Amino acid sequence: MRKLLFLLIIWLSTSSFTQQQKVTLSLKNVTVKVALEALQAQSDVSFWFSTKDVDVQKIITINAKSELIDDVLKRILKGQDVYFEQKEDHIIISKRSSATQKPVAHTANCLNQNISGIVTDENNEPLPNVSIHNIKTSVGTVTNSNGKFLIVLPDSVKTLVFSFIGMIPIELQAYNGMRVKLQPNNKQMNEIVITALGITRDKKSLTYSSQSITEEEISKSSDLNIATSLSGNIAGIDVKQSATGNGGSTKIQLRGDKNITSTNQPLFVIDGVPMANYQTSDAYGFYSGRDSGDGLSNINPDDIESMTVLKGANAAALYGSQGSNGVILISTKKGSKGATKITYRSSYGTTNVSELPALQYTYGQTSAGSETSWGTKGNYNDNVKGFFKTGHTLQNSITMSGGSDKTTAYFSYGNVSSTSVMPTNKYSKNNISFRQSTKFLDDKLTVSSNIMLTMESIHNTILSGYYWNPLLGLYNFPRGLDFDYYKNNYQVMDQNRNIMAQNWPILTNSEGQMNPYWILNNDENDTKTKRMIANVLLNYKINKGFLLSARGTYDYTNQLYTLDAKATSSSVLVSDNGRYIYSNLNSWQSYGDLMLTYDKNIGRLFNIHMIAGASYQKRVIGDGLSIDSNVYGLSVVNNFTIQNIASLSAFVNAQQMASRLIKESIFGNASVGYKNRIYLDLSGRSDWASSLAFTNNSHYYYPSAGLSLIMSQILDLPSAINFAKVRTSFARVSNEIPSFRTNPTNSVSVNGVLLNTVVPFTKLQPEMEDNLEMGLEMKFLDNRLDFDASYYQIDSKNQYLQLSAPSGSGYTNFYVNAGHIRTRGLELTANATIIKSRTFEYKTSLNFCTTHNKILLLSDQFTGYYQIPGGGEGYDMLVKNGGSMGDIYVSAYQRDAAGNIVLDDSHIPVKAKEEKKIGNAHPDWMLGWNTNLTYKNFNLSFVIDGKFGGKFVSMTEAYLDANGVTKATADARDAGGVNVSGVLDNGTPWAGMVNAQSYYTGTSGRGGIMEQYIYDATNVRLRQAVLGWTLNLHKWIRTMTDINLSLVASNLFFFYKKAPGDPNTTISTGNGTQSVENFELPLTRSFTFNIKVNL
Amino acid sequence: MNKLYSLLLILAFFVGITGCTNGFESTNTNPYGVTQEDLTQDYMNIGGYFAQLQQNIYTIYGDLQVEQNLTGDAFAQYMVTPTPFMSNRNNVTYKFVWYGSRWNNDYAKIMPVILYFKRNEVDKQFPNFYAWANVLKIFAMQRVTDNYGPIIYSQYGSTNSTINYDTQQKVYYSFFSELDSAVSVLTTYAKQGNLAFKKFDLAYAGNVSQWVKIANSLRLRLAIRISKVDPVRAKYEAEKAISQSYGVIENNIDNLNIALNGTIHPLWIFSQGWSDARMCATVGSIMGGYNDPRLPVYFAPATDILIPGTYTGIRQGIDISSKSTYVDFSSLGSMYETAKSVQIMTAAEVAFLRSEGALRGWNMGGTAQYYYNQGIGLSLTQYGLSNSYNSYVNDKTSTFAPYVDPKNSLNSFTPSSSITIKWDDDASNEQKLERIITQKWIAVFPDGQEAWSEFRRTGYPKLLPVVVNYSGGSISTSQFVRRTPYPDEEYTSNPAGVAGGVALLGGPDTGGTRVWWDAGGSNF
Repeated sequence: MRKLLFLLIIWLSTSSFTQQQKVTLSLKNVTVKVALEALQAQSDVSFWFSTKDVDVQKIITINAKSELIDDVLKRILKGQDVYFEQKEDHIIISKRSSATQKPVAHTANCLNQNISGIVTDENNEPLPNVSIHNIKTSVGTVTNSNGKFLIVLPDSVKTLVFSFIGMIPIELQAYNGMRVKLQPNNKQMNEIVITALGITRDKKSLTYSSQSITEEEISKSSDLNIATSLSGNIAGIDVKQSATGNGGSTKIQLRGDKNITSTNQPLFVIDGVPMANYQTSDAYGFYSGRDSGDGLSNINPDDIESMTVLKGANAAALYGSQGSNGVILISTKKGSKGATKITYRSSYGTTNVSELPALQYTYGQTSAGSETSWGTKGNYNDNVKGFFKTGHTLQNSITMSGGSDKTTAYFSYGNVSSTSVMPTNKYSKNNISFRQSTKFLDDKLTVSSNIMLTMESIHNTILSGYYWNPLLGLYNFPRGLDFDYYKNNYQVMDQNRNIMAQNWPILTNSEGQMNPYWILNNDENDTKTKRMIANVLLNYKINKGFLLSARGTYDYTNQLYTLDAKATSSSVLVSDNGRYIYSNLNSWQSYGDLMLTYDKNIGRLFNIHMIAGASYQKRVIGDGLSIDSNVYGLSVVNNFTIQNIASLSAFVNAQQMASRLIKESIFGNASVGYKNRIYLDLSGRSDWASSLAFTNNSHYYYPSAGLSLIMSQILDLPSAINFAKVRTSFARVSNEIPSFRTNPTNSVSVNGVLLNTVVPFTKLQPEMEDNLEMGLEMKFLDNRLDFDASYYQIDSKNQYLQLSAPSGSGYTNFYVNAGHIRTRGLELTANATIIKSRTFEYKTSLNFCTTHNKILLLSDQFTGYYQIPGGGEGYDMLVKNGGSMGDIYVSAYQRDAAGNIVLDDSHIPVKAKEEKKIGNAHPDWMLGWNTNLTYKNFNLSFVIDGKFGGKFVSMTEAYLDANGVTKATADARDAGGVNVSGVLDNGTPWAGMVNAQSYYTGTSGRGGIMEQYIYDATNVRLRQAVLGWTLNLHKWIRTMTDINLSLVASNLFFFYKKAPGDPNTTISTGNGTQSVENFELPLTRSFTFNIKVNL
Repeated sequence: MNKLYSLLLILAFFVGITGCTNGFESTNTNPYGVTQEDLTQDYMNIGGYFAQLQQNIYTIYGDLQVEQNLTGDAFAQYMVTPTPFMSNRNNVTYKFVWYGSRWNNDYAKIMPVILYFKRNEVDKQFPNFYAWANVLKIFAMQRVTDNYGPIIYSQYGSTNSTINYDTQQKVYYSFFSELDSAVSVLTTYAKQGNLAFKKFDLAYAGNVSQWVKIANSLRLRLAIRISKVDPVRAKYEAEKAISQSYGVIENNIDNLNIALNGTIHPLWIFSQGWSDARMCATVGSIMGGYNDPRLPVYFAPATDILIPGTYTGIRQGIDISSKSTYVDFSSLGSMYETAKSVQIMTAAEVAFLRSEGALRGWNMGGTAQYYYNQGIGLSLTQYGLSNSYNSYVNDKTSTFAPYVDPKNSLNSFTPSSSITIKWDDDASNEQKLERIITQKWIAVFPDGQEAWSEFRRTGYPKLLPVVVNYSGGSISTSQFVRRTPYPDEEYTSNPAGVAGGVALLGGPDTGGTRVWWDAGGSNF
């Protein structure tokens, strides 16, 4: 199947139909190219053709006076084996032979004057609006909403050309009852991209980098969280999943960390409306962090049509501050005209633990009652094996769409229920989505609305860190004791209290260690999230290229979290009668915008596209009640209600609001195209943000500018190069500061008022980010090879920092605008179709990115370092002048001037007072490699992704080593101790064996020498392998079009990995605990079987 | 078309109402906070902060654990933790891991209030409140300087990038002069019978004369503290305290106890809630040796199967490999479960201060013996044990008991002191002082901060050295810990200031350097 060599330009809106336009042209001895350009300059049409099809260097002479374009064109192209067809405002010229392909439909001999038939796409879906005509005559028609057409042809006419945007035009013998199947053209044909504010643009005109993934790729991964499918598919994106399992947050970074305290997460936009990220609780630090989820998992993956990643602020200038970290645009499915389409998808997956910490079972408990295993050698049972379960995930979804000329509708229902490898952990989700679009007022006004409802429920979400973590008790269980006994008898009757009491050998551990089965069954937590997103969009086509649109959205989430910890849980966490944690928070956002779009061809050379608009956004996050009975206790044992909380002190700060923001904006954008080869893009935006109230800076303006040159149109490039474009853009984006900072208030405490000690910073300014980007896109060899490269430099200034005030200043904290962070990076995407035959296709794509940043200046007044909140226990992320964002500092060996490790009197290495920089949390570069093989109806694809460089810290290992339960400690004991060499305090060198127990208890554990637990974070994995089979059932069952079966394997294996666990998971989405793990869930591998039926 | 224009009109209306920034200030104000405007009612903008001042001298919240329980309380050998925090390398074993908390808490909760009052002219408009706030501040800040040595005081509130420290001597002198003006203001109001404090007073129901007495008592405590390094000023201040018209506190009813108002006593949380506080072996040795009736009040019997029902503590600074080893040793007494207040200063302590003053030849209104016996009597009465008074004060045989660690004999010890209870006029001054301070140590329980300071100043009672010392040589085992290092935050936010502070300290910023009033050597 040969590909057509068009370079298509798709203009957004239509100008008047120009077929009958008349032109006057008088040219002598010019090339065809010049003639066409002259013709184009006079008319409103553009000509789309490939230099392969049309000999543009041919010298011609033409004289036309007020003639129809068609006729003039015919004369210009006289003698060339081409035909042309008019499509709206452009005329496609293509080689005649390329259109006379073997018809897909059956041929018939009968030839009638009345020809009727149906045109469908490759899935046998009727295609409306397909242009049908004959080249020789002016007859033509289009298909109706059911894909049907009727045309009356003179006898002389024997063929018809069928053409449709995005499809390969085809010329066929005409006969009555034709069934025409159009094949889609390669994506390059139809590169319409969705840009900021949901505006569709021709990719060619973009002055910045963007990359999309389609429904196909999203549904392929069958992941519950849509963000995961971006990993490996998009250059420059770093996706780390929360370690808390289903329903958890995702840390997504585009182009690295740029902000010290504010988020580095990109903005998600659904159908043009910014989605509020409702993360109300982050698994922050190493204790009992709870990840509230970030709302991304609320979205039903089956509703998504495509996702487009706008990587830099340049792309996102129109979103203002929220877009400064890039934007991920989600387009959801819409109803389409024609017969009702029903898609049913079902999938079943299993997840299993694929790697456990390296533990030992050869040395027993140190002594009776001890929580460590430094005891006698023996052969003990592996208590970890058998603990983790196989997780099951069942997903079902049904989508329906259909409609008439006036109204289309889409409905979907999705259901997920899953269990994880952690016993008792359950996740379930129901999504309902309904969308409709109706045309009014002679089709000039389109009203679309969409409502998405989500109910998500998580039982026993995995809490990160030491507290309430079953893994703590599981891994540290003193070897030699009977784990099965404690498993089967995790609770026993306490006659004194008449309650079931926890049964576990270690009940007083300072990290709150408990019987894992007790935690799972008696310290249960539940998260219930309800979300509703409703939006309405009005589009009104005013004449002459003006389009007015108005949009309103209300997005509401309620999340209820409870933890009911029963009496006799660890006393570190739970008081005598139990502990009750209750959090009921509402978050909501209302958003509205009004936008006027104008498209116009000015004269013959220029095309302009302009937008002017205003938006209003009010967002409240985490408003509600959070109460924790904590040490204040409960009155009645194991009664988990608010009224049962024993002390009023528990209610201090119970009522909270994380943030409240109003933002009003006006924005404008103008894009000017010159002869389809030079594009200039300018935008400006001004924001008024409530978080800057009480300052003089409540309003901030930021501009962007971009230029792209289609070199393949400007220069005569070798024919192997089909397309070449260079682009550059500059954008400044400002970011408002968090809420409530400019007017800090006192808080109520039990007996009075707590004086605010934060300096009210009335000079606060918005953060500022300057982005410069350059890019090159090229396509070669009949578009079978293409690449897109971007280089960028981002300068982040005026970073908002909360610093510890000197204690003598009268305050505890103050805010500054400081810092200058420079980020530079390179992104590269290459796609190749290596083999393409009728039955076999081999496609591959490569994504590469590297990003580095440097803190050029932290603050001129401040010479120390800034510690990003979240670390501790020998792990910190510090921001220092000259350093980089993501620098990890850990407690280190004390070394003498010569670098020797200093030993104490017992020959145990001494921990240095200062923490030492050991590297960066971020990879030096990342690679994603996709391979897609199609043979007939079979499809096999792989995603391999690699992150190279960066460091990873394991707190778990440090803890387990100190307790003598790791394999390393057993090996050391087997070897007679740990080989230590260093210098004593007096400078004398010493080398020899040190008793393993003294060594590990002296250097490991919480707050130990973490320098021992640094790993190279480099990893290369087979992220995903998919085997699919599509069967066209239409032949046999008329009601079914096709059925698709696929088997997906995720995280199948690593080609390379040094760190324990998965270095790509993260404790929190915050900036302070990256590339570190502390009793996280072990690495898992999953297999999913999918079935998808189109009815 | 008319329909369309109506629609546009509606849209324009929506845009119109959004196009103003009037609501921005209220939007950007936390709805669950309290603004200064809210607080003008009921004078909450002044009185509202007194809970914070009163409840952060002996912090009533969990912060107290690292601020005092794992610092002063452990160093005074009142309480130690059975938990091997940081692989047992922590404050208790002389490896300082918690040392910034007291400083950070008081500079966040106490000092800013005084500055706020000063900046808002509370000192001029409401001199009584300002004087009261200053008394509370000195109670708190004395603990800070006693902990660290030189501190930020006269330069507090400076806008310079470097905030300089004052010597401890200068800080103490400031305390005295601030007490002068506070006492003078409060005396005037006391004489008027002013009840302005009533709504905010967590100790004396607004009775100003009580605050004058406690201010005088505080002056006496300060004077005794500097008695070795600055005896002339000490005598002058001590006599001034006694001779002030309201005098010092003399009855248990005058004790400064700050109401908890619904909060659990922090010691109960550490002991019962977190199982992190247990009796120190030294308490068992001293109070057990004396058959002290207060022992079963202060502590609960051990539940460990080796020593059930006994009052057995854990020695400070020992090797602990697992929390379970010592967790069932004596924990705190149930009085802390029901405690309604925390104790800051008692009449018993004041009596012992007067006893020492008299021993030093100052005019304290009575003899050393008189106040010694009075101190014991007041303390026993405080716990409802006045019946034991006679037998107790006349016990001339009981001495410190030996300690046996049932888990690890390395920790067992024989006491080095033979001091008894009964006053002996023929004893040397050192012996008399040992007797006074030993009894004061028993009486000021559970305020380990004060007991540790007095131990550092006098060397009494004779405490036990640590068995394991992870200070890396910075703290001598035989010399005990002398102070806590400056917080890390000072090194980052005020590096030149803290460097100056260390220079004024006159030694390295470790737990081994003595503060100004800790002169060492003989007490006389």
